[in-house]
Amino acid sequence: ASTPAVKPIELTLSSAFVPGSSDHARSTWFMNEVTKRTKGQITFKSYWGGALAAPAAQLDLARKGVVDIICTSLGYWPGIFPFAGFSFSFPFSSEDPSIVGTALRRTMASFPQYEKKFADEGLINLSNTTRSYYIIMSTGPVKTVADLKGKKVGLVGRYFGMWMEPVGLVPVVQPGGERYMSLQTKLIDMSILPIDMNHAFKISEVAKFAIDAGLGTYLNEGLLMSMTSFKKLSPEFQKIFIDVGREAEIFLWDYDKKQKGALVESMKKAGVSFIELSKADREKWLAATPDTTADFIKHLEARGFPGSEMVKRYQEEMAKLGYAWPREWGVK
Amino acid sequence: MEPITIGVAGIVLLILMLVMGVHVALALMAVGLLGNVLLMGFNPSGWLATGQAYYAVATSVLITIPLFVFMGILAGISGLSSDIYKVIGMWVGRFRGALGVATVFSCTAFGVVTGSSMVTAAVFAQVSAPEMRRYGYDKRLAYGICSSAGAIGMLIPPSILIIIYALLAELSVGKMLIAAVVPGLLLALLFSAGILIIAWLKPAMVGGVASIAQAKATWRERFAALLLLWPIYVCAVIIIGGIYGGIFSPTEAAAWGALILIIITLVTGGQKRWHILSKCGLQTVATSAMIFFILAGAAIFARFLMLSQITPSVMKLIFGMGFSPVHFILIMVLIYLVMGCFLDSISMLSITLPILTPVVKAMGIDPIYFGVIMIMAIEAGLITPPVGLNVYATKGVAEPDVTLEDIFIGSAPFFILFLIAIPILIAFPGLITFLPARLF
Amino acid sequence: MGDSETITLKIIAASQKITRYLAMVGVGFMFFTTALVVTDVTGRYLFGKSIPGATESLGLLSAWISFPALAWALITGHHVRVTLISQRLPEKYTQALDCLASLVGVFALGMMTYFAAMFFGESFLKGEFMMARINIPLWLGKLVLPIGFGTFTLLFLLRLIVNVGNLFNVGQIPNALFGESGQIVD
Ligand code: NA
Ligand code: NA
Repeated sequence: ASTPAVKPIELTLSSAFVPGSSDHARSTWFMNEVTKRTKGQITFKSYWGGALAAPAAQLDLARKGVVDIICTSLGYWPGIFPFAGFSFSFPFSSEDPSIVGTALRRTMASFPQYEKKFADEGLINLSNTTRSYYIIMSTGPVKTVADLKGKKVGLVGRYFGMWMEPVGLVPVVQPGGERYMSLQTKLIDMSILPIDMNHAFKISEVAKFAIDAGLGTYLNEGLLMSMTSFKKLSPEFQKIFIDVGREAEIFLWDYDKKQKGALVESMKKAGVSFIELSKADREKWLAATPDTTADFIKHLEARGFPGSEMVKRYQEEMAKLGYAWPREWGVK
Repeated sequence: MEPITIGVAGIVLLILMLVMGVHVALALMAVGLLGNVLLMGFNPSGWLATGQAYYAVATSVLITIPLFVFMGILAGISGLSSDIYKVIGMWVGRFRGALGVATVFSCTAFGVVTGSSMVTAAVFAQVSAPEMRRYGYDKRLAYGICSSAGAIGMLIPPSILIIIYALLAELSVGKMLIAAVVPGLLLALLFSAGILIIAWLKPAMVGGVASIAQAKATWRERFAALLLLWPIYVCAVIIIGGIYGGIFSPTEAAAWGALILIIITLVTGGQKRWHILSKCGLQTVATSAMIFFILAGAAIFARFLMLSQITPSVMKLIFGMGFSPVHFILIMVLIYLVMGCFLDSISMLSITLPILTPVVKAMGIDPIYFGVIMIMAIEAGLITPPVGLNVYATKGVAEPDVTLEDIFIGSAPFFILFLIAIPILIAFPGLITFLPARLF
Repeated sequence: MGDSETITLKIIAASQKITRYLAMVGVGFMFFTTALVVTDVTGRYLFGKSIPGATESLGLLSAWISFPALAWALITGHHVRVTLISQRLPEKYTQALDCLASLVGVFALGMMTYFAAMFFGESFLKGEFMMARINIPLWLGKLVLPIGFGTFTLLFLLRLIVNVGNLFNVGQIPNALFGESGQIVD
């Protein structure tokens, strides 16, 4: 079909993430791909690192017509989007972003409340974010789980702390920006961050031991478009946005896997030792961890979502994709 | 109207409003709101501004502002500030300009505790400026020293600005923090030299002979006077020991500082101690409200300038001109100095770095060397009119007879010293790169 | 002294009292924050136990310390302005400029109050909270925004009325009541 020559539309994207992050790579890929497939009829202007608004204020940018697309983490609004951080209520689950990402898509497809929630907020969810691999960086060597006892670990969020306590770790809630100095002054002995943020904050300069405890992959709804802006697009372009959004997820999975390898290599070169906990130790830890999924179900159900069914379906979908659950979660 | 035209008109309107005596924060907020209404419409402008106003204030690291200000006010009321300057006067009062130099180094030392320039300026404007004036310092100079030397603390770790710079430019936070230490000390030395030159050329500016009377103390009296300062030692040991001993973070240190001064006030305040605490508390929240109102206004105005696309347009123009690295650095310094007249430091970074970083990499300039020079240029913006956040913070706590203009004028010599420090750093990269190369 | 002038003075006195009470709320939160942080640090260092949600609520507390005092800071002359021109002008011009500044205040802060009220309202109705160890309601922090900006707007409205009265010789109320002379009202 020959479309008449029209003036290109310039859309605005605002991201909470800094250049160099995997979200930056994904969003950039998304924008370039949309421009390419619309033959230059859609172009983008972008703001990074929360330049236009603080991370926690990004949502209003898209809801209130300041920008067309935001790239952020829904974890800031668990009251509005109760399913935010869904995958992360399951302690120590799969680290494979493609499995987690596919399972969540399939799960949510059978719960219409999910998409409706975005529409109610005047948004459309174009692309999910897998939040890279979480890693525990330590200033001192750790051989067994027993060595963790009494160590202070810097982290954020609701569940990490609950997972750390059974082995005697002391959770210290602290923003990423403060970790470097805190590790230097020994205010904390360890820090939990996704491997890319770990790299951005250059944590391995002050913490030379990496513990792969298998913390799993955090998955979030990440690239959100204003419904008003979306509806202004032609059906043909709307389809391009949806398709490219999904493909951007796959791009991000591959990107994260490659990046993990590269970052691990560069950390090793910088003198970081990687520590694997023994199978027995990991099983002991897993058995002692509270069922935070059960807590998450309560949270979902209090906000009108069928928590039990969603959690059950997700575990089934994961199993279908070949993931063997070491323990059943969300048991009432 | 083109966005850039609206942006330029906004700058003109801001200057007009400021000159006409509209409160600074209000002028920033009003122009930002109006400009964004023109760029995006009424509702988007209002929502963007509200989010900015809230998160410019509701940020955990900013809790240090009221707490350190409270500490400063209590130090003033309890007579601790005058004791400090009495002792400094006894020891070095016979050297003209010594109190000013002592203030510069106190601000630098306070930089070890806080990562915010405005906090340092506000604290020292209360603790030091009135004392310097009592010893005969010109009011402009006394307040100019505090507002300018407040900027040094941002070059000494901890530093919010350097962490944000390193993150946005994908650099090592640790290396960047260490790299800025020598430039920070250089600035302190230059400021001190500047004060001594002023004292030499115009003795009346630093109290002429008035302070010399203090210097007649005997050695015995001098040592005895050191004991007077015990609360300072307690404070320093607890705060610095607490941060570097891994007991609390720099953010949490502010609460400990406030607690110590509250205890000192309760112990030494006599019957009026509760009255003193509530009165100082009221003064603190008023000062914090003033500072946060300016931060909110500056944030809203900065979003407007950002959306008007002035900076990226100018920068893209410059990138295309094929400058040599040194010329490029000089031009970027100039751009940051101009931007510094209208924008706060963090906004400047988030507007420019995503565009600038790849260009610097492509030109083969050492990014840490480049970054520290730019931080220096950005910090100079804290004391330049019309939007000079350190000057505003200083004015907010200054004695009633001191005007905003007085402080801008008093800061001008230090701005010139910034302009001397920057070429020195450009010419001698080792001042920046030596320490990080040694330590990592 | 005319009736309207007396009434205006009474209103000013009342608003000084109200803004002072609001500022005391900020002072209360400052003491609370000090106690919270000190307790949290002590617990962490000595017993390896933190107060759940303490760190996450610092941002919210920062807002509650400063926003309630916005109006109080105007009355006590803390808000910074340039006096370079106004000091050198004849009184009538100064009064005209004061009117202008107040007008800007009423409009800009009025707009901020309107949006701040919705900012809080939406957050409250949707039950927004922060994902910490405990659920910290986000609207609790946002609530201070309409309160702070609302009282601030009203005070600017009062200031505008006084400024206009002065300009047209309806009454003469010293600007010092708004801290314009830089004098601190205790
Ligand atoms: Na510092
Ligand atoms: Na400036």
